[in-house]
Amino acid sequence: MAFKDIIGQENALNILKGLIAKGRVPHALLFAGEEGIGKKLAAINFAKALNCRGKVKGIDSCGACPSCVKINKLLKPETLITAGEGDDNLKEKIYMSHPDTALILPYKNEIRIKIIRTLEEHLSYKPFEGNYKIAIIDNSDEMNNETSNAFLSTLEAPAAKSIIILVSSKPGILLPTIRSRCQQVFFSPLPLKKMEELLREKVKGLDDEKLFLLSAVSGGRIGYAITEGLIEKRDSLLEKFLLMTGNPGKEIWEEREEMEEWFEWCQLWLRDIAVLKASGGTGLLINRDKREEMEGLASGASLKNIIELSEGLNKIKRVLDRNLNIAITVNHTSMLMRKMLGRQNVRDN
Amino acid sequence: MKLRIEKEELQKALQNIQGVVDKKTTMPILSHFMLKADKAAFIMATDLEIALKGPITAEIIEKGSLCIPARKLFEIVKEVEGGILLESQENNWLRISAGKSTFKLMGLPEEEYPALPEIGKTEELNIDAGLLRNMIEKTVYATGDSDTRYTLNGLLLHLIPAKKTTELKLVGTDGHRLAIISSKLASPLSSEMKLILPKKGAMELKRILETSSGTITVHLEKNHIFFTIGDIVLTSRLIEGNYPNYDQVIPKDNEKQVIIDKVTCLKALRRTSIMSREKTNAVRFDVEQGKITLISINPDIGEAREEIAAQYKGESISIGYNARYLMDAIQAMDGETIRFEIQEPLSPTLLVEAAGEGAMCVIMPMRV
Repeated sequence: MAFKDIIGQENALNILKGLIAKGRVPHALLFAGEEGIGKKLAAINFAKALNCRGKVKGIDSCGACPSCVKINKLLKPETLITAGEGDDNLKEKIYMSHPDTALILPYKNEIRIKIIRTLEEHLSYKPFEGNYKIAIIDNSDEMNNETSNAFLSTLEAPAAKSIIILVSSKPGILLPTIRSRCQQVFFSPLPLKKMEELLREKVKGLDDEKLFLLSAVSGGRIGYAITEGLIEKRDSLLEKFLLMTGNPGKEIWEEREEMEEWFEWCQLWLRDIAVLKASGGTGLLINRDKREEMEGLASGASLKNIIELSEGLNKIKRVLDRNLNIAITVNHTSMLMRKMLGRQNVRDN
Repeated sequence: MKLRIEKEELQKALQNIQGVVDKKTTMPILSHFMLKADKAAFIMATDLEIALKGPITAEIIEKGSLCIPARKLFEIVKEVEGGILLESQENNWLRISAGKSTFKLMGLPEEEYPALPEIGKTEELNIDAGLLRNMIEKTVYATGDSDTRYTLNGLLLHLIPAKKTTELKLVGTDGHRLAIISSKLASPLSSEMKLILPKKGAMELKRILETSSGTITVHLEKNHIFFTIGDIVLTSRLIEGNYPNYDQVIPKDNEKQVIIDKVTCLKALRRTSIMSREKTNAVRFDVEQGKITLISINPDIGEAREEIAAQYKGESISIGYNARYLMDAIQAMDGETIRFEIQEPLSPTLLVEAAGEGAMCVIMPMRV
């Protein structure tokens, strides 16, 4: 695994390679972009390239030298033991398989201040065996306020030879003071055509219709597109969407995660409904195969209401992790959907 | 890898690295040590801060290397008797046999162990083991403990080259006190260098030096410092950053000089500090001609007072100190007397060792 194996992120990778080539790697970087498009993968390979001891053509890592082999283990952190494993008091998730490279993950959806202290100590030494000390903080938007503020001074001027890489799919949630201290590298979803090309290569035996569907539904996230059963998942979640416009009952979602996912998918369908409403045609639909359902949903709603619903659902999604009561959430969401999609009377029928 | 080692030899070697093998599990492999058998056998352990490498006498039957859990092997070696046969097997398993018992221990390959740089062709210094130990002892007490100003968590090695010699200054400070000692070394050096040795490295070095004599060799690399003591090599990672300008802190041209008997002062401090507030440890020194009165007052409990003789011929002055800082400094110093150099009640006091290498300690006074 090296830079050359990361698909479709030429722009971001060229920036990173350029930084190495010029020898001007900033001490704080922010890798921003949608989930599932290879940000963490790029960060780990960036670390490898910076500390690689082997010989490769151009700027990349060899993947075979002891340094690369050690850092490669970070690709599967679940196989590594970490401080805090089984010990709730430590509340740390810091993985090191190479003495100069650390990967930090949120612990129970939170990155706490203690880990930043550990990290600062780790960065205060000169490198052990590599050229740089690198810290990759995945899902860095899950740093709480206390952590973020404590991190500011380190982020602004860490000890020499330190590189801190923040990875985030929601960079907007990061404190502006954090963002402004990092050089941002954007990772973008792939365009539809490129996705279709790549999928044709990666997954054999797909017809054109399926190719289009996977490319469009995944939103240009290749990692997401090749997960198994994506279309089936959409079907089952769409069914629940339709159910929600009627009388959903209490136990519509099996688990919290599914619920969160559902709220994400809602936006995709609302987009299609809005497209139908605005253009009147089906040419721009993503869920082409579900045209009938979409048309049915669009029939009773106005464009204004659809947009309002989209905002409303987004708002609920943002507060989902605050321990909402599921039954009340279902009721409220369903009511909102019925109102906005003009289905006030469904219940009475 | 296959080798036969005597129990005592292995036990001694494992005992030596116990202080280095990491108990924290940030990196699981750090609870292992590396055993390598080439022409000779040696063991190596590191906690990413310091690393210790030493030879081990063994009969090498087959060359090779393996990382072995240090704690478990130590426990095994402690309980078995006679010669021990260590044999590596497939998938990094280690077979340990001694007498009629056999053990199988899960090891890890050498490649996964942090790769320690080798000593290159860099600057080299020779220094007497006793002198270095003494210098560390007289400065390390003042270094900080897990301070967020990380440079203070180590001992500064300031090397200033002169003609064919080098001046070595050791400085430790935690922001409230600063200890400094300097000495001339016979080896030359090409340029001035400032290195920060982590406290753990300094303590471990001191521990090893306690049982050794003669000359040791110091190699200075970009990121590491190597101390070769006999056949043991202690490596320490250096701390990144700039050390504060210590020279600025040392008060000069001090008018008021007080000479006090070391033991008397130490004992009086111990007694009076019993009554001082635990948090601040404050003791007031009322200095007059020919004597000092040590006073500590704790409104909740009571007070203590003691008079000690001192050589002083100036106007009276009253100054407060943290008793612990004074005791640390005085305890580390040699000779029968200590010289206090004072300017104002709130400006730093300089303690100077009367005998030995002339160690000094700057202590910030307290408002009492």
